Amino acid sequence: MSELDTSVQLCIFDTSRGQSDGQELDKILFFYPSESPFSAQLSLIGLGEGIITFTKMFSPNAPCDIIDTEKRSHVFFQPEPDIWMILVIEKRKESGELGRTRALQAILMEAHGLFTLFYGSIRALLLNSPSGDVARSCLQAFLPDYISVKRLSMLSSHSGLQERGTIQMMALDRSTALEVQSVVDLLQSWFGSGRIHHTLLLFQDLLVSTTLPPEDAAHLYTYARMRLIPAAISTSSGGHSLKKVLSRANSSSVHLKASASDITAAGQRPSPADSSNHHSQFFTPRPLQHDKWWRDNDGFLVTDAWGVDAQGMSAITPTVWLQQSSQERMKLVAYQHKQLTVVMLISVMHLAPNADGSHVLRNQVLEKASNKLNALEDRLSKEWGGINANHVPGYRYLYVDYDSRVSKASPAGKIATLTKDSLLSLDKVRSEIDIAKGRCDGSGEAQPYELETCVRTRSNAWVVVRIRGNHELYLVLERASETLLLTAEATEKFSRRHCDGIFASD
Amino acid sequence: MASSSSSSQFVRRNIAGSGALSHVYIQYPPFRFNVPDSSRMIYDDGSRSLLVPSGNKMFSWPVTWQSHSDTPNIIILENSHVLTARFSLDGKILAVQNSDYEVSFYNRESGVKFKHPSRSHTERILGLFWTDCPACDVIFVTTGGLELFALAPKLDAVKLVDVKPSQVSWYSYTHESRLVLLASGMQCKTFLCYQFSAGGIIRLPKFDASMRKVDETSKAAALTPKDVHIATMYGRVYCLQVDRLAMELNVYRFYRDAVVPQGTLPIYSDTVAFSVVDGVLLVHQLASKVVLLYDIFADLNTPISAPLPLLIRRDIAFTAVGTSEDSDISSHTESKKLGSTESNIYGDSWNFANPDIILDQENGILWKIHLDLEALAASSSNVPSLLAFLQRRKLDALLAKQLSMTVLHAIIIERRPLSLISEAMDVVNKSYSQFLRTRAASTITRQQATRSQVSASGNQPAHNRVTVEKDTSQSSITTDVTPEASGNVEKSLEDLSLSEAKSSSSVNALEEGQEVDGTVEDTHKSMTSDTIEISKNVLPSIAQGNVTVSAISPEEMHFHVFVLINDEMEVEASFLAASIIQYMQSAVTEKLKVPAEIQVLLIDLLAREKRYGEIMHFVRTKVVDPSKEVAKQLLQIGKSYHPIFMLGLNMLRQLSFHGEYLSEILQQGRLLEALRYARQNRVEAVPPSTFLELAAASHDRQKLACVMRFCLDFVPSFETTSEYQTYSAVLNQQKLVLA
Repeated sequence: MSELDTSVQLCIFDTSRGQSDGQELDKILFFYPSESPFSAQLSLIGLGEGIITFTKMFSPNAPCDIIDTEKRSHVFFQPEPDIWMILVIEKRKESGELGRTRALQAILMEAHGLFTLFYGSIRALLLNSPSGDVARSCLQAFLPDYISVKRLSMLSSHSGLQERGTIQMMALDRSTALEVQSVVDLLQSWFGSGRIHHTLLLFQDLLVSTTLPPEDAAHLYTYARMRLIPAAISTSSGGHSLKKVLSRANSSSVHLKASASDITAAGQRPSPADSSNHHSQFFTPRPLQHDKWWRDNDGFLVTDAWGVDAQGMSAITPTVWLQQSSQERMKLVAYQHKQLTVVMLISVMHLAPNADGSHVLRNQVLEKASNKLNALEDRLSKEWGGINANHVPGYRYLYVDYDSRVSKASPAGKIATLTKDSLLSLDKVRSEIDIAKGRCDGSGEAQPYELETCVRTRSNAWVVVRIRGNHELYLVLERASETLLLTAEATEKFSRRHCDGIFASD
Repeated sequence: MASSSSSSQFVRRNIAGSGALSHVYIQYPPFRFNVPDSSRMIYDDGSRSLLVPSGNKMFSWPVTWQSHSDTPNIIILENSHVLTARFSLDGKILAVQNSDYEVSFYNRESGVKFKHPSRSHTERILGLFWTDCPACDVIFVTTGGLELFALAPKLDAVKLVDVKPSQVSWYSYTHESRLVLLASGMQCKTFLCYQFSAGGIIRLPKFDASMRKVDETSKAAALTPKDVHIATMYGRVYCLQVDRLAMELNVYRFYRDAVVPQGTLPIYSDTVAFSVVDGVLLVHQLASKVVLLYDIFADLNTPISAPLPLLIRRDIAFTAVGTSEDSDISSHTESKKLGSTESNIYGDSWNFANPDIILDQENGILWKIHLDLEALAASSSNVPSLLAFLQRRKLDALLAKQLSMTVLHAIIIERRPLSLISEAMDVVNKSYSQFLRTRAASTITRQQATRSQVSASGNQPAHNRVTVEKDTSQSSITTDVTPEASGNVEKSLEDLSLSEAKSSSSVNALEEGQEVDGTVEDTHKSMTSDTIEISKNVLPSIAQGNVTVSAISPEEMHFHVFVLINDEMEVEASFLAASIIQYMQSAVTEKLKVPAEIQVLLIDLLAREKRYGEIMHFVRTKVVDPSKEVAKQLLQIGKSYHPIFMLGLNMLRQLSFHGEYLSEILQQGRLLEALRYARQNRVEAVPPSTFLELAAASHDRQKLACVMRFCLDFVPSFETTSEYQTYSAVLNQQKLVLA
């Protein structure tokens, strides 16, 4: 390796570890790029910890968000008590300013959310294995893949009309929504009550329905969009590579080892013998690894990212941890028909030890539900309004409902028609609002935060922001009417038509 | 045994039934008479009356099941020899066939008598019947064909109108179908049918009964009238023909231009008899003394019940039929007489009359057959088809409705598979939306008919007309089907309009069997209307100006199924919620409105399991309709989960329930926002004092001043009110304190 690429650095450390001199390395849970010399790693963490301690004196609850220097930005995020993530991004001249701090933090938040979805919280991993080996190997198995996916968006995060970590819903007719719900209920009932705990239904990359609470839904949705939807699953191998892996595994035990080590060799330490929880896994899964999901002939999605079972007969069913609803480990089974993806979660607790419920589920679904699901797919594809379904002529908008973690925005193609100036202005306005909101959060006021702003940009566009509690609306109106009054009217109209009148100003 | 009194509107039915000893019963006491020297009974299905000739007298009773001990009408006959007799449809004229060649007519009102001899002595008169066909009034069936006669204007003679020549060995006629079937040929297996109805005369194509050859040597016996039965089921006309050698029953359906075989049923007895009760075909296997039930809308190949005997039911408290007090008396006096003679079920002296009457010739008893819906419900394991069957019941609609709801209740309580529940909900909702459509169609045409009645006088009272069913390619013949005229509405008008409704609202409804069957006659009430008469007393609120139907409205579904289950707490919230979703889904598919109560219950169930995310999803996708009730429930739940509270608040605001919205945000202390809102939406329901009190209570001088200012600016003549005085004093005082 000639030169270490340090345009993006990410480190995770635990301030409660390595308190005594000479043990500082113990703090470090993850560093990217991993090839960085320890001295560089330690100096970054030293700087971060120093700043955190210092700012804590003034603001104990929210110590530090960002260090902005001429060449790079250090973005701070504290996902769990005493655990910090620092993202360092090199500023490049051509891309100009980096995006909003909050948008960058949202990347870290998303990374952490996905991590906990698959491995549980970092703190829990540390408690289970105080040496930190498990936590380190998990982070190592997960984050490099994540960074490689998100690298581009880290470097240019001018996405004022997007909100990371939120769900985009498919607009449904009432009767279709009911039909979806009825199919979901039927699906859950067919597999015996209470066995399918949750479902998540996607049409293309839009969420149709879920029984998960908002936060878990958002995490799983993010993952599904990255890896499970038809556009994301592996097409190159056409679903045969797992079979190849399996058949290789079957042919001789030597090959099994080889295939397993093929995967582990891809840059991670095998998980140590902490087998109480992970007895079925002989290596740390890499959920985000590229090209690891295939659609089987029966419509089910399979992956070997979680490895193959001891006999090498079949792939291990992935498991996820739900944070918000039950703190439970669930098996993840996904079925796909054309554009419809159904993610089903089965509680591990309800399965007999060592039993893999996914086979039973597969048969049940194929036997009873596939017709209904196929019919549903038909209906949804008829109802789908195309990629520009959410477009509202004349408006470029983002509407976020943080309560249910749902956002609705102009299609990306339409946002791209905005001038750079408008986007930058929006970004600036949003940054300021982020700060104002941050102050408001600290003040502990009971009343919902409300805000209305209209900004005229240099290029004569209007940037409108309206906030009502956890609902936020951002509008960019280019070539809009000249006056503030007309802009306000246009906003009211939009709010009435597309946001149930939440943002009415009265 | 559910002997529940029907005083309360909806007694939950116990499906245990009567131990399922039978699915069909005859109700004790029967109709019996004591006429000396009476030899036989004649049931006239046209006038629904029982005729008993004795000597030179003809005794007659209307068979209404309301008053058994009616004294009979007596008509003195000139000739004591009676082959058959029928009253005219208006009940005025009695036609008596005295011999093969002579028919006498007796006008009951004027006392005029006249005779009509046969046209020629080569043709024997086989029988006669009255018709409401516009072209003629009475029709003789002779060995040479049909002779159509019209009454003379003074009702003192009949005049030959038309002759339909054909060879006739024997014939079969039912008034319900208006269809006469003429058998001819060596084996009497060639049938020619005419329908004489208010709509005119229809000649149906000839067809041959199919007789399977069992083996070459045996020669099939000729068909007899007992082998052929015309059955009207759900308004459709069928022909049932017994093939004794093959032990089979062939079913044909009559269409306007075709007779189409519908299939074959096995029979298990040398002799069978048929009845039709409420659209259900009863095949009495006389030798084995059991009865099998078939429903043409269900699978015709399998009976809907196991073969069980016919039962005499002696408890008179049972709901629908025969609850009147006078029957008490008669049963009291007659109970001792019920010996072995009366209970010889399927005895040789039993005659089966159309559609559901049994005449015990030997003992002079008339029975009416009933379905035991409870027993049927108890014995059926296929829930969707059972529900569909119950929903088709017209005669005992109230009981059928109660049973349906009990079944729905049971399948949820028993946690039957959700797919089954879904099917059941579909059945129920389909039936209800069908009912709504039929009702809407009939209301519209009733209005039209009322208007046309004003201009066009002299309309023929056309209660019984044939409708032409637009059935894929063929048009079928159905008897019409006049829904009961209820109340005191002028009868002829009502009848006409309703039958027009039928013919014009053509007629998917018929296909689905949603008709109220039975016809309203001028002089005699039909069985159906009697039943409804009784259930009206039981159910004043439901039957008000309306026919009781078995269809279950969403409101009833809520109160008598979902709420009950919810109160019983026997099934977990998630399962009930899933069932409600299935119900809503099928309701919305049928374009029924789901009442807000059901949606409130759904939200409540979800909230119980803390499925807040789903509640928000439902509200967002409008699975749950916005309504005031729903909003209030959301606010209630929102106390433990704030986003839902906001959802409820926003719903109130969207629906413009200003008062409720204001009081909610005032409770949160959002005083100034409330003022803005009040001004914007011109809410005047909340008095200024409310705002002022709150402002004063906050001890925020600025806030109070704001509210004062607001009132001064926007409340007319605020300065003159006492509130102004009070609160400016408070304001000044606070100013002083501050100073």
